[in-house]
Amino acid sequence: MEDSRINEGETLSFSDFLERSCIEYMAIGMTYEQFWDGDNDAPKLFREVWNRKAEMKDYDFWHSGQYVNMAVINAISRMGESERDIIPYPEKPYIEQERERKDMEKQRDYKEKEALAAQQWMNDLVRLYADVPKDSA
Amino acid sequence: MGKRIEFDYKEKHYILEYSKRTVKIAEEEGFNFDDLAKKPLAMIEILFRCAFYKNHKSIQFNSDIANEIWDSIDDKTGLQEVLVEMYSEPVQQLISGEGQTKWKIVG
Repeated sequence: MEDSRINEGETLSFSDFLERSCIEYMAIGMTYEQFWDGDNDAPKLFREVWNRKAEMKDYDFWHSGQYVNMAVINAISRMGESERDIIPYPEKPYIEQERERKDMEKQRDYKEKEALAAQQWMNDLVRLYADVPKDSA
Repeated sequence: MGKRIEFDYKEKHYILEYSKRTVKIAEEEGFNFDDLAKKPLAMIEILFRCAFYKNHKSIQFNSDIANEIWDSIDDKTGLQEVLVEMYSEPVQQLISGEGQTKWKIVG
């Protein structure tokens, strides 16, 4: 955000300060009416949203850097003599890979629980037959 | 939500509140902090009348009803502290934030 502090020797009334701040807050998404007539707490929320957006943008840049990095590594690895030396470029975006990994973990956990339940059921069944007197069969 | 003053006058409920626009209007009507010590009642009267703007736009600054309410309002000096706080609040919200240098009251 643009700096709204008072320059040396400058006197600023509340109105002047608000006029100056209005421009800054409109730059980060507030409407004119929201600024002048809205809730007094609203600017703080807009500041927080703006900071969050800046963080997300920074993360996006970092993420792009990761893909560029992988592309460079992939290109350099292709200069080697063997096919085995090639470091592949990710087939899917990192977020999708992460989602698939979590889905697979969930499926694996579910299958393990199912297998345990089936084993338990089988054990119970065997125990039930073992407890039945032989001459009653 | 900011600080508000509420009262009933002639069976009508009033809510006085300050927005940034009201701060600007108060300065246009002649309020300034420098005069607060020299002529406090005049300054408080300005703050009081401007505080109608946000929720009761139909009440003009110098209308008969504004004059009536001002004349009948109780504890005018007690209003000073609250109105100054209300007037400052929209600006304070803009400059508030997490600072690295913490301070405390001593004595």
